[in-house]
Amino acid sequence: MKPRGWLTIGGRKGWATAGLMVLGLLLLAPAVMAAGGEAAPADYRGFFGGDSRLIIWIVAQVHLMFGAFVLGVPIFASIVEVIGWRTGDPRYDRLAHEFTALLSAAFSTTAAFGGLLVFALIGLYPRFMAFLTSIFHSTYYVYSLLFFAEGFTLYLYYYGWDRMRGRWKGLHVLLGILLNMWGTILMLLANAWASYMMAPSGIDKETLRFVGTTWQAVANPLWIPLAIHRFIANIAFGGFIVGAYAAIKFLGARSEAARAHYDWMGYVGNFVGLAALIPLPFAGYYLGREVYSASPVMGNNMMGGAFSWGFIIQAVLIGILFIGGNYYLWAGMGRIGGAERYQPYIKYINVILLICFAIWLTPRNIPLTGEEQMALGGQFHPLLKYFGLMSAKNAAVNFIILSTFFSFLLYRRGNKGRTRSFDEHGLGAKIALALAAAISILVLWWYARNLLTLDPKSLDLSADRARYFSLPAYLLLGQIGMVLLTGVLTLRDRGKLAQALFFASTTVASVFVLGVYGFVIMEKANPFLRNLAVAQWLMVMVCLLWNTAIDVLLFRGAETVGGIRWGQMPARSQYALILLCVSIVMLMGLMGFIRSGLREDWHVYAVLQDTSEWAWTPTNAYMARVVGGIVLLFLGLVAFVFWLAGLGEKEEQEEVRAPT
Amino acid sequence: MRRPFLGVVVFTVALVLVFVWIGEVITRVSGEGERRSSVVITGGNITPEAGEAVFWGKGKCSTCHAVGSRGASIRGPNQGESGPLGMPIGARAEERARERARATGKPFTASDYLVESLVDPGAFVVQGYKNEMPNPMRPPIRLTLEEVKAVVLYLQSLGGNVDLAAIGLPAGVEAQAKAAAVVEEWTPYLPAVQGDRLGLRADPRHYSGGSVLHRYPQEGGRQYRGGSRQPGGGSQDSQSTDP
Repeated sequence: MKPRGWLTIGGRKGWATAGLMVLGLLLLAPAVMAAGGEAAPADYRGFFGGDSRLIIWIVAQVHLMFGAFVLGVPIFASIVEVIGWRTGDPRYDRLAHEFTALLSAAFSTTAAFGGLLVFALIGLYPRFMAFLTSIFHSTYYVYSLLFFAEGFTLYLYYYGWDRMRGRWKGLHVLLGILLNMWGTILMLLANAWASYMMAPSGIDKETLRFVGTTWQAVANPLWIPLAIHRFIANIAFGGFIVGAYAAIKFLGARSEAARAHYDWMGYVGNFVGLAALIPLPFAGYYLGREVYSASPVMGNNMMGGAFSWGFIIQAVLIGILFIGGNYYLWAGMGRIGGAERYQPYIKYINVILLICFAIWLTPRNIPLTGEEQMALGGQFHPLLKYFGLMSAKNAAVNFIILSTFFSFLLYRRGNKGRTRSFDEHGLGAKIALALAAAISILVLWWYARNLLTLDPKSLDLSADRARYFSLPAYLLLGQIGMVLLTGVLTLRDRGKLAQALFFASTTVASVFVLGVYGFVIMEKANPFLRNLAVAQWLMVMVCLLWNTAIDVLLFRGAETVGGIRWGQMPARSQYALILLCVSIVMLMGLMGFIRSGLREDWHVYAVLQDTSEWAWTPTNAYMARVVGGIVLLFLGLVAFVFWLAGLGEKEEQEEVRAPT
Repeated sequence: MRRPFLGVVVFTVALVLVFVWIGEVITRVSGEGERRSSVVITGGNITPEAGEAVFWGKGKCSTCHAVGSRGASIRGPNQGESGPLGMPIGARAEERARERARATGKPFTASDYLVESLVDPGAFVVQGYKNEMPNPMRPPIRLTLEEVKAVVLYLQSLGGNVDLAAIGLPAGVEAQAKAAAVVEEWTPYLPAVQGDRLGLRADPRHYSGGSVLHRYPQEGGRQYRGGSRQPGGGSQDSQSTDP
């Protein structure tokens, strides 16, 4: 691949960057003109006499979306490169290179939007920016330096790809890791500013003045929860965008080889997206919990107030992501010889997913007219009211995750036949199995012990409520027993039975028993519900870990009953990938609105009030129109940038070789 | 390539339009787009009706409390007949006042209990609920004294005796309300970064792991927004609740 001009004016990306800069100057022009006659500094400025908040909203969200892409893609590009390096399979290396090509194309656009956002904030919200700068100015310089570091590392990583093959490959892999490191620190810094606006720390309670230090402001209560949530979400976001890119390439491919390649690329994108999506609801739960901790007012407004309907839309979008991801996996089983054996299971998984999805999006409080309430016998439906509560939703999301994982396991064993005896795998396999068992047992034991020694006072509960902590603890201990039992079964060549048993015990304990028990807890010891949710989640995560370990070892060297016919996928499966991409972009737009909107009429929550004329909370209709516009703008820009990046690769595209 | 791409564009736009349509439908069915009446309460119109408007509006009380079958919040006790003790808050306050009198050794009326519940919500927490209610007179809610009295009147009207004259505010609350009502003119902060610019040096006065509205133990006679470090070095950050 020939190196192309990066930020040179003649280069295509250079033109894209220059275009965005000009757009930025045009956006700033009214602010500059408005400031022309000012004798005193203004608190706010309008945008051509229009809505400044809307401008910031759009620019910030598009920047964030590009940022998520350029932070998420290098994570799995590096992993794919390492797989290619260690296995010696050149397909993985080419795929990682192709991911990085997309990354480099989007990088300059991200930077341009970042610059535009800063300029627009300075121009339109000078008072707020002065406040933020007064606390965080030292971090700005670090941020800029890190940006240089990330840019240079990316250039080296991308343009040095071909030169650093062979003995230099290890160094190239290291560059990939370095790129991720810079990106993560950059994200942490930017997150500090955003999370500080929600949960300011180091403020004197009486005077509302900042009396802390920069570090205290950075390490505010929401900093890490937001970082964890964004880190995982960025990977899912990058995965689904790459999946959509591959889908479009697949649909337009002229050769079988190109179709096979992009089919595989789409599969990897979907796998990455789904894998990151699985822990995401729990990272979101953790963030939500910390929002409550930071401010009960904000927390209650989130799920029970003005933004609660937004969470219903969120549930719909997440449901679409899981169902769409599963649909793509099932469609993919059509190209695997032997997978037809597992087709009968699909309909049951479908039913489970749809029921869980329905429970997840059922609101507790449905707006009803007086007549409807009379007909219903009250504000709540006698049965559906239970589905609106957190306990039902926790159970539903756990079941969705277990079902998705089950789908993936079916996909994996699609063309696998008779397995080998476990003894044939050698000592290494036994050690790996023992290690996975040890990790699983430690995690379960740790939390069971935590629950058994939990002081009810720490949850504002009386001592007699401690009896409600026992059941989840014993179930966790029971799962330890199941790990040992299924481990023995695996060693005795009953691995499939072991997997089924562990799936069953996890589903019964985490979804059904604790799901129903959650209602008891809500009534008798409500604050304990958070611990119960953690217990459920840990059971599910251990199930994923332990079953994956068994699966990998079980099917190592297994008989192959059919090949994978890459490229033989129906067009509708590619539209599933597009659906996933559009859904996650909409989801990011929606959650960006909610996270930012939670502050209501405060720039910095409860410290610096927004006294501008735009300090009102938008309705969901307004939000949907703006977010919809942002989604189209972002996807349009992504398509344009990828098109620019791909112009020079036309010839290479035809040479793409199919995976075997 | 053009034709499949066009198909993808049409599909994408259709998905976005469905999203926009859902937003429109939600706004229509939830009535959130309707203009809500804003009540300005002065000394002359402190009424239960005004308090009801604050309870379901600015005060955000309804995000945690339902009143009978009105509202769906369960985080705080229901203030209607289905609440603790099976009585509405107006009647329940009589019983609670007797409990508070026994606990504090001071005379307590039902109105005193209601006032205390608003201006010092952590003083008495109903069994089974968390000590998480913020003081509504502080930011970000910032109710005025008149609004607090109006809410108390509204709560009295739920099964109790409505009596404005019986509402007495504890000493210091008035000053607190006045202080909270002022939107301070913010001036740029810069001078505090001396010596330890990045603040890596530990400073026991302020701890960043807390929250703006948590109840933190006082230290040295002052409380800090953002929490205060406890004497043992730990932090009291356990006031989390579940979404």
